[in-house]
Amino acid sequence: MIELIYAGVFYILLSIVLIYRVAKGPNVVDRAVASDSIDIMTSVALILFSLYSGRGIYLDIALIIALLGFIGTVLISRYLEGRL
Amino acid sequence: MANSIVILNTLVIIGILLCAFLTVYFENLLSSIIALSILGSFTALEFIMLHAPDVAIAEAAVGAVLSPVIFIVALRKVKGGERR
Amino acid sequence: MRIIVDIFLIFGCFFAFAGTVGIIRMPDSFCRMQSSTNIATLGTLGAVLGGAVYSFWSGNIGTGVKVLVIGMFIVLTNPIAGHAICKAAYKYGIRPDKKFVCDDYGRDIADGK
Repeated sequence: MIELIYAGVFYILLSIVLIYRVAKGPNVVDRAVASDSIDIMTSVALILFSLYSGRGIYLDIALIIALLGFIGTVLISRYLEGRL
Repeated sequence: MANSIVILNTLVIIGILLCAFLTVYFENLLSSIIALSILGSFTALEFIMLHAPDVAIAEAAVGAVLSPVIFIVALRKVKGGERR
Repeated sequence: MRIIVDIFLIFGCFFAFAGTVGIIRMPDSFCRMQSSTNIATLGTLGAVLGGAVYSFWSGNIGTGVKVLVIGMFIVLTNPIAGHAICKAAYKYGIRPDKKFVCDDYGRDIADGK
């Protein structure tokens, strides 16, 4: 199944395009939103690469990235809100 | 088949270089921390490409989330880090 | 069976592309948050369902269940993160470009004090 790795290349390409918004965001909230999207798309590309290479242990890293990126986003929002 | 693996590797390395440049470039400290978080996520994906899942688990937990959390708590302690 | 996996992957890639174009081109912070939610729900759901169908088809039941658990976790937790960062953006002082028609959240904050 070569299409899995093609879809992974497409997701990584989109996340590199999103770095433009991180570089040129007018304020911090745009950068935080783009960072959250890049985390999720990296996790999806990791799932596709794991299914392509056929090793089940690579899925654990995708689970860790998806689970801890959520905590990072909520912590940044708590910092901006002023009550951390 | 191996050609698309090489393309995926090159795109991830380009992402690492862009995020490392942005981390040094930003004036605002919170934006620097967000760029550092994206760099940790891409580095975990690169370790997966090099077939080292144990290093990738440690990198995804520490580099992507734990060190930005510690930096944000330290940024709250020094009250924004404004240069006087 | 291969065609079904391809259809799911193309579905996910299309919605991720639409969300990325929205984040790059939208004029306002809150519009960009809406496009980000589009990436995290529909763009993830297509790729995860395609991967799960491929994994069940090739005989790995445990891998398919793990992929479905990851997808369900992302779909469940991303609206919480979007809500938290939207509320933080309002309290940080960011407003939309055009003038408000009605501002219920600001009235609620003013009533609470």
